[in-house]
Amino acid sequence: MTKRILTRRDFLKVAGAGAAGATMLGAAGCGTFTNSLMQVPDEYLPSGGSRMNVILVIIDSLRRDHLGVYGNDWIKTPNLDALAKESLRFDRSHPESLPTILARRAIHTGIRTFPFRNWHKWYEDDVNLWGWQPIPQGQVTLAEILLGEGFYNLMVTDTLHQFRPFYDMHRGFHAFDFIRGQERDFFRPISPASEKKMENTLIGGPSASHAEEIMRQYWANTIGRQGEEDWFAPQVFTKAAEYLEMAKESQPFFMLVDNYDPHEPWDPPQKYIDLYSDGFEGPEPVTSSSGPSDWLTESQLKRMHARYSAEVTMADHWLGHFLDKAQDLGILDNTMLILLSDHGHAFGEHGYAGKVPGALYPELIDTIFFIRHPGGKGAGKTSNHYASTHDIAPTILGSMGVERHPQMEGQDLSVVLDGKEPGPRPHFTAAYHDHVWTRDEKYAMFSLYNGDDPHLFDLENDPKMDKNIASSNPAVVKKMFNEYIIKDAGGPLPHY
Amino acid sequence: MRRLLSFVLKWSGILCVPGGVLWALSPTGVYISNYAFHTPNVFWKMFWPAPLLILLGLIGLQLRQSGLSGLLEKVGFLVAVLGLLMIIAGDIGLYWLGIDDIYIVTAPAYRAFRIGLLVLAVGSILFAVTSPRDGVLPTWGLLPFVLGSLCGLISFARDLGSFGAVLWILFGIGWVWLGLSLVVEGFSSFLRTRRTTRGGIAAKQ
Repeated sequence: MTKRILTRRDFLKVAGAGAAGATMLGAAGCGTFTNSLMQVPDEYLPSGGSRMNVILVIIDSLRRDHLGVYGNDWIKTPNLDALAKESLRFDRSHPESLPTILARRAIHTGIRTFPFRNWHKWYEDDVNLWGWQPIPQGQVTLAEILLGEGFYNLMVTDTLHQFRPFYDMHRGFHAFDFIRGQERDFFRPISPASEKKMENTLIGGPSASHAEEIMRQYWANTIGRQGEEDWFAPQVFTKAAEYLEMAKESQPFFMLVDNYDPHEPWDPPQKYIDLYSDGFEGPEPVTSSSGPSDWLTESQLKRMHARYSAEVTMADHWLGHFLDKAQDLGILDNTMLILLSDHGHAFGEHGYAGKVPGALYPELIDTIFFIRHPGGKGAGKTSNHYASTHDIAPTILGSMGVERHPQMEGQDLSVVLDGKEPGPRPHFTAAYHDHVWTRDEKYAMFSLYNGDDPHLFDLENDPKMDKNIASSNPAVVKKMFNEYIIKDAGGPLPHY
Repeated sequence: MRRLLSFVLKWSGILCVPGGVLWALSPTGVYISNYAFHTPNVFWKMFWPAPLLILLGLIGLQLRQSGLSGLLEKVGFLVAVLGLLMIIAGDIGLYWLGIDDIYIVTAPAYRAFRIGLLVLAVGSILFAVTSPRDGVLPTWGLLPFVLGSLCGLISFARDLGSFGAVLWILFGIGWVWLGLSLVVEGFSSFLRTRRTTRGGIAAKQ
């Protein structure tokens, strides 16, 4: 080949050519370079890639130990168990923060809400829990990112807190359906008929007045129900199934099905209650009153637990209806399905009922987490990785090769489907209001935000966290608080 | 017939010009398609002639200078051809055959398209940088083409919005420039030959 040397003559030729090119551009009406930039369309690459659909199902308040696939031998959850067998299952999933709205903020944004910096109540009547607020304006949601990737975004939910003023969890969705009336959703005015229902409702305990407000509104919302289809989980999954038919014509789509049951009030049709309780006299324990459970008799507590379990089975049944529809439409062949819960609920374990910030035991902090890949990746396998709510968005984006937003803090768990590790996470931290929780391979610990009132448990010998060994292991407590909680929080925790 | 074929082969490099023009018009095409049909796919369905014309032009260029080219230039040519074939295959697979609409986790057509773009840019740069100095392509045609290919490489690597669209257009213009340089150089060569011939005849007379 001839040797190439750039001579001065060559340079002059190229410079001349460049000048001519610039003239051509100018003559073509581009004006200045800046102006031409402004005029040029911003889309120029073909879109595509992993265009599988995504269905994300959130089931509120579903305890991990209430699923057959996680070892429960008395509760009926055939659809969840079947789904788990087709999925990669995470056995150490926990919310990075709880309860409801905090978990959803993390799910939607991939950003931790912990440690609740700059939190304030958004309006007078809002829930007074640290970190409970809408998604901040500067944070980008998963739906907004998928919108830019050409996905058609759909949301069905009865999780009432998202219907409150200023709440913005439906950002980025093309269509959303708020199923009204759950819990204390201000949906229908209170009437004499609904007031009459209060007579057979057990109210009491440390949060009695709040529980009473909830039940008064709930009965007003639900008066006049006819068939099972009128209950909330049936409504949510039926509407989601309807959305599926429409979504099939708008692939790829992202569908969020955010189902509030089995959150209290536990008011399923009688046939479900009869599965777990065969007779009860007196006012029904339809809702808890978060705090110590000693205000309830043993039979009331059992009945409450049975009603919860009944609602779990009802949610499972209607989830099955939704999954059958997806199967019939052929959507599951081309859709990744992720299902998780946001937290659990206590029914007298460790002396508490409800969701108590100072009682971060497995019944409250352990959640379920499945990923069903259409290609069968990871099916039937389990992972001990600490999976969490803020991993959802990076995982969905990662599985499709879509670049994650730089703000996202969660891990892309889709690599686990290929048998890889998502990156080190030797410990995990979570928070609920004024309490913090952490765990590693050996211990779990929770305390107040400033480290006071610590509870430490040896997970190897005491997985149910029954024996507090904090007083005999102060060094472990100190290490877990300073090296896990404070470090993950980036400094001392705020308090309000 | 043989003379005609020879002529066609000799000048098929010019096909880079319409190919480059179509390429450079792509962002506008996407915009119009979005505006008229609410989807860019109508445009992308009709995009394949651009890389096909460039491919034919590139083959024409290579045939004209094959006797002078070295190993690296041949590699550059083959890489660019591979890139163009991947783009065409990707476009046909994605928008005509609908391969990626059935089961799309690996998205073979889309990936072929996007990887083909990168392969084309790398091949183009290598082809231009190693083209023979005394071949059919003048340096003043090759160097802007290299710059255009670099612009392409950047814009193909990731979505850069309007800036990326400008770089994409410059990549197309690079091919137009290369094709035109072939025409200009060929015409100059023709004029020089004619003058020499006339001069020779005049001297003889």
